[in-house]
Amino acid sequence: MTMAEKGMILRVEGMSRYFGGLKAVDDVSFHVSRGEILGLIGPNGAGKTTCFNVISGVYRPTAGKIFLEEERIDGLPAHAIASRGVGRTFQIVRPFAGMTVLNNVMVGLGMQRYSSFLKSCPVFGDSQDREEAMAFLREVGIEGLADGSSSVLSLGNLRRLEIARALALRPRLLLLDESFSGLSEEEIQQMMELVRNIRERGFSVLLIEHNMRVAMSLCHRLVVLDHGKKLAEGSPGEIRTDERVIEAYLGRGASAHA
Amino acid sequence: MQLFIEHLINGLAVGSIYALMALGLAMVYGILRILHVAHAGVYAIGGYVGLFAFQATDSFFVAIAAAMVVCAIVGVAIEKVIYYPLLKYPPYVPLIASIAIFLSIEEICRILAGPYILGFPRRLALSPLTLGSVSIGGMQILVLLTSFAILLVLWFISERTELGLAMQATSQDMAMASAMGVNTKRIISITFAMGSAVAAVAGVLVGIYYNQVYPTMGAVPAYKTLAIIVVGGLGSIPGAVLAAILLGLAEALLIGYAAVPLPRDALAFIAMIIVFMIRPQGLLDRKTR
Amino acid sequence: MGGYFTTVATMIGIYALVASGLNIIVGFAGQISLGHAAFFGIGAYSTALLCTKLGLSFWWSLPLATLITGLIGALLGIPSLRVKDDFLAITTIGINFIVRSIFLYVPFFGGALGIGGIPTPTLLDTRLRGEYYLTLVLVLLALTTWFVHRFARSWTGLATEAMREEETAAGAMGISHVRFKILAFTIGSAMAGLGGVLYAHFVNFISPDDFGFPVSIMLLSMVVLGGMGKIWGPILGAIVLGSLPEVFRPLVQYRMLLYGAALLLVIRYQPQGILGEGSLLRRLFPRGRR
Repeated sequence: MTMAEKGMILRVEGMSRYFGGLKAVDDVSFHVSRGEILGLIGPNGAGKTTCFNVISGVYRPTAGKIFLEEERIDGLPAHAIASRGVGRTFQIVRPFAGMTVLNNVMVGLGMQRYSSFLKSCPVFGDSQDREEAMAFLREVGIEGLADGSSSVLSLGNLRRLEIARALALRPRLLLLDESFSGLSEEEIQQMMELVRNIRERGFSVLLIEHNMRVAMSLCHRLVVLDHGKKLAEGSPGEIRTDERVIEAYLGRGASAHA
Repeated sequence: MQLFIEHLINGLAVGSIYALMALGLAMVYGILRILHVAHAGVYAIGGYVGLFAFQATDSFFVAIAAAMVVCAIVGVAIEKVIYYPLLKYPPYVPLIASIAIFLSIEEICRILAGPYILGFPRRLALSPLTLGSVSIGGMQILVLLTSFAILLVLWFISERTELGLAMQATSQDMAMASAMGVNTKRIISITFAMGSAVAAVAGVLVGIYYNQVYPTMGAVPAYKTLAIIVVGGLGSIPGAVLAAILLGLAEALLIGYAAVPLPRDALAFIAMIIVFMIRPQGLLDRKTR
Repeated sequence: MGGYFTTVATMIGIYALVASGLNIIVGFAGQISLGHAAFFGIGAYSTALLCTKLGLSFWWSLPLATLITGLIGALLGIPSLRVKDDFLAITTIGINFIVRSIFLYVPFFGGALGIGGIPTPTLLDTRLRGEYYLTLVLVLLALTTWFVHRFARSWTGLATEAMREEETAAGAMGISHVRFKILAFTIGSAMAGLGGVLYAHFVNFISPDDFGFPVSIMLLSMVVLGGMGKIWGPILGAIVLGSLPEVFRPLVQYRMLLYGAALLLVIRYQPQGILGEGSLLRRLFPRGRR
């Protein structure tokens, strides 16, 4: 246990989030180890995105503790959690639509500058900033679109842009919210390659995925949520044969993971 | 005690006029999410049309009916020509358009009818009703009865008719209502027609109640009713009516008793800011937003 | 060049400065405000009181009143953290009404009579009147426009724009919406305050009605008409809306109607503003800035 604790990037203990009477997330605990890709899966309405929103500070948890390495981060505002090194993407993409693709990434690059008033005063976008931002765009493969408007990108490219933007924070932990949904088969292959490369560069990844095939082949471990509760946790092989998981998915009609 | 009751009845009368005004604003907001400032311009038009019709025919009912018809037409014209094409833009665009319409209406009234305060002929003198030691003015009875009748009719339409159902569906989710076969474009126009007709009644009643019709009579109500519909929970019609009547009562009692040199018209905004601090969703909750 | 032209040009310059401040709040930070005249008024009343009651000179009062207005702006910007869009629009209308009521009903501020005897500034023993005052206004307008330009190109400006486009995503990028909204309100209000100072010392006499809700509408119209978030937008808007009533002056009776109708026509057919994306001007001259 101590060995695992040492290598933990994120530790979630008894996290709950209620909306009125609805228990969207109910007493969930798990952790992400350093250099790991952990998948969060479950049927629709299982509470996966709510989990992300609580971890990244969009919502406060109703109960529970969240640690980023040693530091407790639950209840901090979103920007404070981001500046501590948690980057994220959104299931429904949220680009800064009025800006160029390059400036979208530039925003993430500026995080160190936002930490103090004086640092946030200089002009942005000198050649060094540009080069840095271009490197992230190159990494996700959309450097050719840098100077165009972000509002005209395809969904696949928007998902790439969101990843580039999150990487620009140089995060300790990357949260990917259904980065594969709505993509073509070819795009899915490219995206899997991209996520693997990101991990190999040393980032730890927590991702939500609907596509079982992707989740099974990409993730080292999986956490299964159902009705806001943790149903199971284990390697893809273990999850695939777990009876409770099979029942959660199949017992409630195939539509859930269609 | 008797003075208190008189203040109360006066407050109720003013509050019910506010309710008629706020009603249309809440209906429009509920359906188009537009802050229809020009509604107060429609109300001023109602005041003028009512006055002229009354001068011509000497009949209160003709005055009301003429004002309602003219204002319904004006309201629908504003919706079709200005608002509908601007729906795809951010909310401040129709808001500014609305303010520009309001400004233009005020100016048209001033140019056509002159900048003076016009009064209703005294022929409408109604005898007061005396209950024990309390006497209720005839005007107050007229205002209360008319407002109450209108509110009742609107309640009936919205709760008991197919049309009301379609209006509710459209304000809940326009795309969904459209998919269910509701002609949303027509519903929007009907909403504007009804809201504007009710504002016309408010205009005529205010004209009679204070015996004043003038070009800028909509200026204070324009912004006060915005505060009212916020307090009522933007888009909630019962909330707007409740907030309007409470405000009318509060204003009457404030003027009647409080010694603070607080402007009466600031009360609505102070109430609004308090509501924001403790209940941002307004007095009556409304889930869709 | 007659005194009439100078007067109109000075007023346009002052409005351009105040509208540029509003552009920081509405255009860059995306926070709708229909109460900007309140800050214009707070600047004017601050300098009027500082000069007539404390006997400060214009040159001390100018930065001080600007600072005071900026601080009050920071305070009154707090509602923007809690409410958005339409709610914020109505709240700012309320702020405008309440501030004007305070000027009107609290005797300290001179009531309906306002405050008179606000001195005309002097520089090197010259009283700054007419063209001199216009020059002063234009210099300050140029300085603030340079400042806005710098703001738009800074990391702060980038963060503010990101917040406007997508507040949640900006938060996920480490951008605190509290900080950048309040900052926008502070800067925007301070600029309104500066404009208020220039106005007070120009007309020498101020009263609550100079800062009522219609002025807020006019200021927002200038910003929207010119093109929100464009550095030159509010300046162009101020020139157009500031000169329209003068152009229509011969038609005294119809002047305000034409003003309203012109505003309606522009917003109806160029809702993105004269300098906005896809506007007529942009289509005619496609190689614009930025």
